[in-house]
Amino acid sequence: MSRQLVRTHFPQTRLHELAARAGGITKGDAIESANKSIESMRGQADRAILDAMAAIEKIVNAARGDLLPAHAMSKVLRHADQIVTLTGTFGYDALDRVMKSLCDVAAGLIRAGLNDRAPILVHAQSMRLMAPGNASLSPGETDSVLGELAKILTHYRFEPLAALSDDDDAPDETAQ
Amino acid sequence: MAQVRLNLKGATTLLLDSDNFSRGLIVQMLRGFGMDPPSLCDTGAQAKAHLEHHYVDLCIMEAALPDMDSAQLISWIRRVEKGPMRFIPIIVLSGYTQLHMVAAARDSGANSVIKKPVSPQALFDRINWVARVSRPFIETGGFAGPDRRFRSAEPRDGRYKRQTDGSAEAPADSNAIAANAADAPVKVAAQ
Repeated sequence: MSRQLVRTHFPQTRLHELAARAGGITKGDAIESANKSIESMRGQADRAILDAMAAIEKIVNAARGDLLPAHAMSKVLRHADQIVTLTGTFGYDALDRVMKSLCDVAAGLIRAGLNDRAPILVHAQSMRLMAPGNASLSPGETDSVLGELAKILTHYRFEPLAALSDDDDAPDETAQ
Repeated sequence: MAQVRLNLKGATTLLLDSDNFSRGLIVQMLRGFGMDPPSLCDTGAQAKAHLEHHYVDLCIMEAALPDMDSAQLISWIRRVEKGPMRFIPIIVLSGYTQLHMVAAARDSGANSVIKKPVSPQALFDRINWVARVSRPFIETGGFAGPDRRFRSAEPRDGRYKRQTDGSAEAPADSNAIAANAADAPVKVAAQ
């Protein structure tokens, strides 16, 4: 049986030395300060979300017929992922669910080699309903929209991206 | 129980994220933690160039870079660089569409992976954890990076030994990481 050479180091990083110093900021103060800084970016975040939405709509509307080319699908996915980061950070829960659904469907279509435009278009229309600054839908209306979007994923038999993560390490602590 | 305190003033951080806004959020968080502004890079190539000429204490990068996967860059840092640079703590941020890259980032030697959107609490806990908890660095044919076979999150410097002290507050998934270390090297030879 062959033995694999394994080297073990016990490095003392400078970060470790710095952290061992006295003083500094408490966890509570650090998080409060960080949250305040982030909250000051809400206006910019809203504009960034609206810009990314506009980019998605432009891509979807530029497509001819019932098909959305693969490269366009990838661009939609990239913009949708950007929005998911912002909706999660700034607490736009309904929009967050719409955008994750869009990511799930777009990624599924790419994996399956499909170019259907209709499911992307429906998501684009739904996200606009829940855009920051738009009149809020009632909880019932929101549930209804999300329920219809869920049917698209079911129709295609796609797994959500979160379920496709091949590792248990993906942390769950994403709440503010 | 006393609150955890973190003093990372003076630490140099490299932040690698191609999305301006996402990058801005992390910068604001680090500022809130009392840390100095990080050096910023958009691509893996830029990060390599930076690391060849500058020492950094902490590297935070997104899972999917425009020109390479984070796993490729981490492997380069862990294997190509000689000296202290190869031991730097690396935290990977994974977007919703990048979750499939979590395992690759971990297997390439990342210290920790955080799913976006990143909350200040999650980032603080991970930075505090990688700063305080010393983990042996394992180097073998197929892996170079922090040992994933750990159970205790107690820091080696002896802090937080009293019951009245706080703990290093290892991230909630630390046990999951340890539990998933089946493919980590099992025979550890002397250095």
